[in-house]
Parts: sequence; C-alpha cells; structure tokens
Amino acid sequence: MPATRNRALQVGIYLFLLIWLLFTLFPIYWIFVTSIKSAMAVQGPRPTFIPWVDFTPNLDAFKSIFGSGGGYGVSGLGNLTLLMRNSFVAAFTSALIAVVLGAMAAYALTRFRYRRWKNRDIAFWIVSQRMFPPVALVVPFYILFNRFDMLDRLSSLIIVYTAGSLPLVVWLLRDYFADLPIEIEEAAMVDGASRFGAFFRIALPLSLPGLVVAFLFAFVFAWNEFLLALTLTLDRAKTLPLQLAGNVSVQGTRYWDIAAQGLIVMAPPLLIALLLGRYLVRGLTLGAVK
Amino acid sequence: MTSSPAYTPAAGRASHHRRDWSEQNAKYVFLMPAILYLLVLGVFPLIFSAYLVFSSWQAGSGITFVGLDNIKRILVDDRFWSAVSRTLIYVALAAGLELLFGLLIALSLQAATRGKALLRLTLALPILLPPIAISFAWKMLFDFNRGPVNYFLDVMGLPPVLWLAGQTSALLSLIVVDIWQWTPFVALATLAALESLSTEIYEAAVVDGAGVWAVLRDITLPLLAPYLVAIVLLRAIDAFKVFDTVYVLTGGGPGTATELLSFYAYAAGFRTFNMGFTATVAWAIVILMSIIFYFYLRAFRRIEEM
Repeated sequence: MPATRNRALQVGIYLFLLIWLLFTLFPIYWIFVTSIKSAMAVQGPRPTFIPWVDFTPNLDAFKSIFGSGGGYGVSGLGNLTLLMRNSFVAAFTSALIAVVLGAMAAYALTRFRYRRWKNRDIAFWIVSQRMFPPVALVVPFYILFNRFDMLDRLSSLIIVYTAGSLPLVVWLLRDYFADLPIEIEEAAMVDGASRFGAFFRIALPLSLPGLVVAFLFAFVFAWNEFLLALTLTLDRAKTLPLQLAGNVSVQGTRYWDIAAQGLIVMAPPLLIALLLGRYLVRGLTLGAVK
Repeated sequence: MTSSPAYTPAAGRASHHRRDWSEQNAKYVFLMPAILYLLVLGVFPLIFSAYLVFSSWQAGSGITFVGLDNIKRILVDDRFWSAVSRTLIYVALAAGLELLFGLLIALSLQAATRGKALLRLTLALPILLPPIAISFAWKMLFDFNRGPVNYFLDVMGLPPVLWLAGQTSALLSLIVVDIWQWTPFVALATLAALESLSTEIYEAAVVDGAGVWAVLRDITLPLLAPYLVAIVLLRAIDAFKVFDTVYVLTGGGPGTATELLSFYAYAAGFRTFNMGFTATVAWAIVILMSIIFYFYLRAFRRIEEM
C-alpha cells in the first residue's frame, strides 16, 4: 500500500502509529521520570507522572548510587565505577576483536571462491551459530572456565562475547563488502599491491561506515548481555546488568534507585541507537530480508 | 550472496606464480581465524555439553559418567513438560501478535506521507535496549499498588490486575514485554520487504481500479508471505531463548507459572548445582526447536506449492 491520499485512511494510520509510539516511549519515559523522583513521589497514594507538576524532581537517586557510602543490600553501589568500567571494557574489547575477525572473514567470503565448502554454506554455518539458545552454552562454559580457573574474569567474558557477536558482524560486513566496487582493488593489485595491501589500504578504509555500524551492534550486544555474566562472573568481573538484576531480591520498592541504575545501563544503547539513525534500521533488518 | 572469482593478475608471468601462491594463502588466512574461533567457542562447547547430558558434575569431584540418568529424569519430569507447553504458548502468542501488529505498523508506515524516517527510528528504539533494564521499567509499570497500568485501569473504572503475580496474567505480562520490544523488528523487516517489492504491480492494479483492500489481499500479502515466514521464524527462534525478562519480572513465579524453558534449565542446574541436568534440558530445547521449525518450514513449502 503506497502513500495514500484517502483522508480517512491517513487519519486512521497516524492515529494507530501515534498509539504505538506512546506505547513504545512510555516505559522509557517511566524509567527516566522515576529516577528523578523522591521516595515520597514514588510511594504516594497515586503514581506521579510529570516533574514540577506532579512532584518536585531531585537527583538524590543518582547521588546515592554514585556515592561511596550509601550501600544497602545487594545494590550497595559504592563500586559503580568498577561496574561501568567492566561493562565498557568487556563490550568494547569483544566488539573490537569481533570486527577484526569478522571483517577478514566477510572479505574472504565476498572476494574468494571456496570449492569444497561453498561460500554460501560457510556463511550459513556462521549465522546458524546464533540459533542455539545461550543456556545450552552456559554449562560447558562454566565448567571449562572453572577448570582453567577463569571464572569471574573479564577476559572470559570478552572471549564468549566475541563468539556471540561474531556471526552478526560477519553477516553485516559481508553485505557491505559485496556492495564495494571490486575494480579499485583489482586496479591496485595490477599495480603490484598484494591481497593484504588491497584489504588494508582499500577495502577497509572504504568500508569504514560499515565497520563502525558492526562495531556498535557488537558493543550493544555485549553491553546488554546478562545470562553469561550471571553464570560466569561473581564480583570482580561483574557487569552493570548483573548489578541491576541484583535489585530483584531487594525488599521494598526503592524504584527511584533502581530507575537511576536502569537509566545508566540504558543510556549507551539509547545513544548508539540515535547515533546509528538509518543504519540502525538497515542493520536490524538485514538478516531478515536478504 | 555475491562471490567474485579469485583475482588472476594480468601482470608478467614471472610474478604470476608468486601472486597465485599468496592469493591461495590469503584465501585461508582471511577466513580461518573466524572459523577456528567459532569452532572452539561455539561447536566445541556444544559437543562438550552433549557429553554432559550423560554425566553429572560437581564442583569438587568433577565429571562422573551417569549413563541415561539425566534423560530418564527429564522424561518423567512434570516441571520440564509444563515448561515445554508454557514455552510453546509463549512463542506462539508472542510471535503471532508481533506478526499482526508488525504487519499493521509496516503497512501504515508505507502508506504514511510524513515523518516516516523519524517514526521508523523512534519505533526501533526498544530493540537495542538492555532486557534487564526494560524489565525493571515494566516491573514498575505493572506494580500492583503504585504502577501506572493499574492506575489507568482504575481511572477507567476497571478493577486492578495482579499483573506479575497472577497465574495467567504473569505469562501474559511477559508476552506484553516481548511484544513491546520485538514488534518493531517485525515491523521494520516487513517494511524493508515491502519496499523491495516492485511498485509497477501496484500502479497496474490502481490503473485497473482495484481498491486498497483488494490490492492488500490479492497483491501485497501474497508477495509478502515468504518474507513474513522468515521474519516470524527469526522471532520464534529468539522467543524460545527468553530468559532475562523472566528472571527480573517473575523469577518463574508465581509458583512455576512463568517457568519458561531457558529459565527452567538455568534454575535446574545453577540453583541445585546439577550441571548435567541443565545440559540435558538445554539439548532438549535445541531438539524441540529443530523439530518445530522443520515442520513449520515444511508446512509453508506445502502451502506455496499449492
């Protein structure tokens, strides 16, 4: 149904989209608005919605979670900086390794022809790695990392996160390299450049936007990951989602604190989504349509 | 899938051999690191976990072979079987409703005249957000006493609902969160498919005087069907794995009312330290998924042939 001029239909369409938009944005808004509420505004007789109208906003929740003294129960957050550092290092490093390995593999899949194991089958095998439920990998990872005394180490998380995002990175970049004009590389190689030179000096710089998009997707995947962090880390290598989930067992409804923590976990992916813009939509839907 | 033939240099014969040799090397040097990485971190753990199905593991004593014990146990385990049927309900309802809403959103976006880019981006936001964080957002929204959802119900004169603590409503609440986060994916993928369809067909139909509904029913949906089959499959695969929202929102409760398979596998192993049993449940999930998707794809091939 291409753009229609039917007036009634247009009104109906926008009404429906508006309702879905509200549905989409409200939970995000609610986390934000709860994080600047006081205990009174959360626990009052009815929910409060709009700062300065319904309640007086403050930054107490942020002060308390960033402060070093005010710990209580599981969410004793004096170590918030450590958690943020862990989450960032795990996400950044795993995304970087995945993009390096993934770019090479994606380049190979678009520039060489493999005979015994066809390109198509290799690509499909790589993507199919994502089909397995993570819970199937959790036990072997736990036992193996335990055996090598690598539980609760950031390096273990980096290793498994790289494996988790690698298939997606290959899939995204394969599409990107396939769209690059091959002639420039051919010309360079006629002029004496090696295949490695063609890759590093021509293909990589030309595909920089694609590499950035793939990196950001891999970063978000690792940043958001919970099940592996839950089973493989405990304390030293703990990440933000794990800390946030710890609030499940906290008694009472300290929602303002939880919301402030939630906002901190949510902020990087939200920023990345806005930064990606139209690449976000393209990257998300690539696998489904091609 | 595009693959170009290997480059053969037109340069002099002397360098030809060296070039061919380095080209052959490059072919494997580029591909192998990723393949080896996935073999070690993806395939090997799965094989190891298949071995664990026949073992029991304790932190101190290591792996002991127990034969078919885990499999016998799972076959008579009521909690496992109710987790299976519960997961099937969850996957069918979530993927089905996401298809319905996603299709409506995609068609609406395609027909919309203004603000498409902004709408697209805004609608896509939930997909990238951390499931743990959004689970807490929904925990606050669903709060029985202070949550806005029950408040709105009250304003409309309806009784409050025990969203996360009711036998049926808890599972439905999890499905709502799934729909919230993943309908945008279905919508955007469907929209991408719609935009890849040729516009000539539409123009011809409009020239022939076909109405909006006739075009939708006779042209758009049949052309879209193969894409929708693939999109729903991707959603169903992901819905099978759902864990984070269960962990935060219900913890599998009330009782075992929202114990979905991934959560049950985790709870059965990591809370009782019976790793062999978790591996068995995990493999049961893999096998179950394979069977269902095999028949799913076969059913649609049948329909397409008719």
